[in-house]
Amino acid sequence: MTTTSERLPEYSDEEERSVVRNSLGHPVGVTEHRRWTPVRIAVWIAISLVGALGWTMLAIVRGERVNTVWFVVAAVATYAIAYRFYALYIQRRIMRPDDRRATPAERVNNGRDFDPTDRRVLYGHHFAAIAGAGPLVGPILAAQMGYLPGTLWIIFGVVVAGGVQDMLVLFYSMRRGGRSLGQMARDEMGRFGGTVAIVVVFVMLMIVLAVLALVCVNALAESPWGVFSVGMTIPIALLMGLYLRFVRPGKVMEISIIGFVALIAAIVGGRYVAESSWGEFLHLTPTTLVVCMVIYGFFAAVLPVWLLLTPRDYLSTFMKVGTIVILAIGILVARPIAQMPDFTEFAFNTAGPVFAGALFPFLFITIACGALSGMHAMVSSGTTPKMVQKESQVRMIGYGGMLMESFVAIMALAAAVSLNQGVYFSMNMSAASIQSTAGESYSADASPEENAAAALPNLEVNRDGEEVEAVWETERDGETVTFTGAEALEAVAEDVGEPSIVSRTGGAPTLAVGMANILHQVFGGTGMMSFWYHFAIMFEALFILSAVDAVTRVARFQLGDAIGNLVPKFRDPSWRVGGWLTTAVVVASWGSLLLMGVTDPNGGIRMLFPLFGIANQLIAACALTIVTVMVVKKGYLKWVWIPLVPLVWDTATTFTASFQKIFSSDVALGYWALHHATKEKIAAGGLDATALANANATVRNTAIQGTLSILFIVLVASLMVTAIMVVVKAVRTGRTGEEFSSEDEPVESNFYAPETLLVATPLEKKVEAEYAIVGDPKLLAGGHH
Amino acid sequence: MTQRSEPRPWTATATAAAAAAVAAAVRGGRSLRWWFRGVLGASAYERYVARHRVEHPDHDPLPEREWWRSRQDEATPKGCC
Repeated sequence: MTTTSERLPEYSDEEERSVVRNSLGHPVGVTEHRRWTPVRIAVWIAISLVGALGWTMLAIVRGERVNTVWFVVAAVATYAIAYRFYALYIQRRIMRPDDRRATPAERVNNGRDFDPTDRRVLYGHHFAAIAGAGPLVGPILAAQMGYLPGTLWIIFGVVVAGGVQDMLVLFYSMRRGGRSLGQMARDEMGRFGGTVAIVVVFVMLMIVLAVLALVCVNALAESPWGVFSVGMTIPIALLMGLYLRFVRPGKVMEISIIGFVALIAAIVGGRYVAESSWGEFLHLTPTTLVVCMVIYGFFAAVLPVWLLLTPRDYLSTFMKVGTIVILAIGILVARPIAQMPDFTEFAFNTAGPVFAGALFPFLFITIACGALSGMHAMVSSGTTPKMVQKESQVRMIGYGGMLMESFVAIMALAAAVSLNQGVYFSMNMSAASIQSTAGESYSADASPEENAAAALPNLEVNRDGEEVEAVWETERDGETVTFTGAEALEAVAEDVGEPSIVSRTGGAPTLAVGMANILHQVFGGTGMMSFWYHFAIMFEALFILSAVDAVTRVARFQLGDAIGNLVPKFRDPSWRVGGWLTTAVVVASWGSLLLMGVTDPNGGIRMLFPLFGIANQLIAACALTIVTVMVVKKGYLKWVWIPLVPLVWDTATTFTASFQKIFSSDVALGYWALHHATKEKIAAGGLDATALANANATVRNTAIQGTLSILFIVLVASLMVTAIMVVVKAVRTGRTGEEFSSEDEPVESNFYAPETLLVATPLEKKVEAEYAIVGDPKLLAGGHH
Repeated sequence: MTQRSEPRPWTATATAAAAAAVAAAVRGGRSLRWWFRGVLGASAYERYVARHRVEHPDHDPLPEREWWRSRQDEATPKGCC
């Protein structure tokens, strides 16, 4: 706590006019009208000019060799402008924060979930909860379309869609006691709407988990080093949990640092374990890893949280902050050049080997987290809104938190597009895709590297017709060597310490090679590449496992509640058997989808990732629909376009993508088209045993994927129809405005905390000092620097 | 007013600058530690004690060990994509 003299600060008349006071005369807010001084005008002109320069280099000059530093420059300048102007505009029009109103955290202040938390701490907390592997993986896959589509969508998507969704859901949930999305849907749209929202979210969480787990499995399969270092996170987390429970409770920083050092040791030691005679035991097939993941997911969800989940969260949070800092330094220092063109052919056709589908609509579902992510609505309702100190802080936490995630996505994209095209595509083509692309050059006796190198020239990537070739520059015995073709792919694998890098789909290995490629130039040289590769794999796996743990647990309670409506005993969280049963159902749901993914003959990522993107973006559609209803009911019809613009765009992209996945006659695109075509192939006969097994798997998988696509779209469409009916009825009967809103009754605030992002303004500091003297000691004791 | 203002020796200026830099680094390090502790939840017990003193000055707060245990049992996980 800061020490304050007991003398109240003195305000000038102008300052006093800016201080908002409650009925007790205590300060509760500051409404500073910051004037446009020449200096501030000059600063914003400078930011605009820098941003314009960045965009000019990216989008207009578009030379063969674009430096990825421009990605960062354009992004940061655009974020600053969007935060200062658009987010503030939204705040003034449809949020209208009122610091005279107490937030749920101030009102309830129970020291548990309702906990007024310092804005900077809450920002970190919120960011750690929304960000994970999502913003790292999507941009990598979307890099097959070139660097420009991804950059444009990540930056403008967050400004107009993602940031708006996160901020509005957070604000409206805060005005409703921190209620969850499902509860808000029920309040606004009745039982039917609420039930649909809960079912939608549950089903989609399962597909999201399956795909995240698939990314993790693909990164670890056939990689003893990766299996060892990621596997070690489990005993490390367990030991951390035991230490905090029995040895030194509460020493979180201490054990987190010990855990982090142990983690680094596990990465370094992984090489020696992998090279030793133990290595072959860790050489696991994808199917074995699925079994491990499922068993792990089950125990993580039924064991007490302090044993595994909480310590793992500590490690994840450390890694999240560390990764951003390291990547930003790497990109700014190494300044890698983009190897991808602005647009590739795959932006316009469905021949892309990573995923099928043209820029519209597939860019917008492939890059979900980082631009717009429905999953964030779960954190922005329910968790974070119960911790906000003052209403005016929501812009910084909701919009600002999402801007940071977008920044992570931009850096991931920069890492992917600065990889050699041959390396990128060899890593992201499934074995089946390499075989079909190589055509006659394919040989069953050749190594995967040779087949990949043979397939590359047949890939029509560059619009200027330049052939794709694998090229890798590295050091051997202290001399710079440039390898080409299959040798280049082998050299990459050797540099990063993996048996092979061909067909390592899912995005995580590509990001890891991209990061190693950048970071070794800054830290440690070629010799450190394998460390950086496994460092990247480690944190991606850690993020994914954290999500698997947490979501399985959340879904298990949701399911228990739902079954509880029929069998009340399931509602009791202390009933072990019920917990095990619901956990088993949840784990079996995503586990079976995961198994389907890893055994898919057409490549699990290629087939399932669109479903993941559609699911995530449809949750966003649900969240934005609920927000729109709340905006209308509150009487802000004039500004309903603010949530409606992202909602319409999101609906257009997800529904088009779903229709293409369901109805397209192109077998690369349509699940059912591939389903029927494969059935005909089987009927025609002449398939050998392997081909027949693959064909049968394809028929089964496409049926499941196609059915899920239909289910998603029907559920969300029915929610939207309900919403439209509610909106039309409200507008027609004139039942809009303050008194028809489902917001909680205002309660007078008796709390003050600054609004500004990092450093409080002089006036804010004065008011803070005054509040420290006159304020409520209970609130002061809670969250102070 | 004094006529002579002796120029400060450069060593003194350098020492002062170094001291200021060290002080700034220490402040920065402290802030970072405070922030990390907050995000991880390591400062939760201190906050509980501070609050308890205000709310229930008549009896002692739970000892650190017991308080963490009671809290660990009810913690809910967070996480996303």
